[in-house]
Amino acid sequence: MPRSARRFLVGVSFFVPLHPAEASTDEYPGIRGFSVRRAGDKSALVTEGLAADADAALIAEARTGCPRAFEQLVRRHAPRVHRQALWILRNEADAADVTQEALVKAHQKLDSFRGEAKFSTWLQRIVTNLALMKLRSQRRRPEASFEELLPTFHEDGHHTRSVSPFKECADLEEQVARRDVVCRAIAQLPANYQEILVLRCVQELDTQETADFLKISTNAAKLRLHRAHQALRTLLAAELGVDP
Amino acid sequence: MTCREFIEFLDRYLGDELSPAERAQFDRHLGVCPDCTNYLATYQETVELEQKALAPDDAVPADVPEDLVRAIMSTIAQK
Ligand SMILES: [Zn+2]
Repeated sequence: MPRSARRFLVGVSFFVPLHPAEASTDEYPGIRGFSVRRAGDKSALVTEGLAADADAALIAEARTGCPRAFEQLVRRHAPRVHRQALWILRNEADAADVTQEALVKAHQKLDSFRGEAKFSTWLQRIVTNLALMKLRSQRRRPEASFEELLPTFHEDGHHTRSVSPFKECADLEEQVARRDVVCRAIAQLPANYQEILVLRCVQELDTQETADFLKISTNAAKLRLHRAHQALRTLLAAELGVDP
Repeated sequence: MTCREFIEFLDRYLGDELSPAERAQFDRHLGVCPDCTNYLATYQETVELEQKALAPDDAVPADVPEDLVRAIMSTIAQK
């Protein structure tokens, strides 16, 4: 393993899968997304169905105020919640804080979980929002207004500034650094633009589902998503763009 | 077609929501405009990077430390 990757893995040692057969991706822990995923097999689907049934039973019991049942849910789901927090925050102490915050919030909001999404997906959305909020609170520079992040044009419709490509990403270390830049940039977006990215990327909703969830028209959802991409592109160009 | 129009409807172009005639206009603009060509490439890269940054993975991590579980349960008990 290259030194850069090893350095990045400090503090994530307890995420090594217990058994190699349990790992569903070929990757180092903590640097997923840069590896090839294996297609799920049939037995994985059966296991997933059983897991969802077990979750439903535990949720029903936890709603009656049974702390044992909620503790079982915590034991089942905290590892993935923590992994997502660590993935975004890259800091063990912050990830532990946000994991705790997310599960406490899930407990408070358990009655609002309606089961349209899997419980694990619902938790991933909660922890992603909290992790982004944490990143936002750590930001150093003053915030640009959203309008300033959208592209600008001359009266004749041409770009006011020339547009450069992003730099090539040379190695794993740069990919990891780049991901950090992206998370911090997403955290800078206004809440409703951040929310739509989380719904698409974490909850994997399509345009119609996103519009229904946000109670806006599909055209409004498309426009909001397009503007989120544009604003984020501007933020990334400042860090990743080649010099003009 | 202007750059402004190109960027405004870029998501429809990428989502394959345009008529063949509209699509041809976009392609012609790309042929003559390096700024929009770069914009298109970096926009697509941005969308991919969002996905990589936020999408939860499927790997099964090991258990979290016992003291974290206890901290969560005791916070809940206090509320
Ligand atoms: Zn153009």
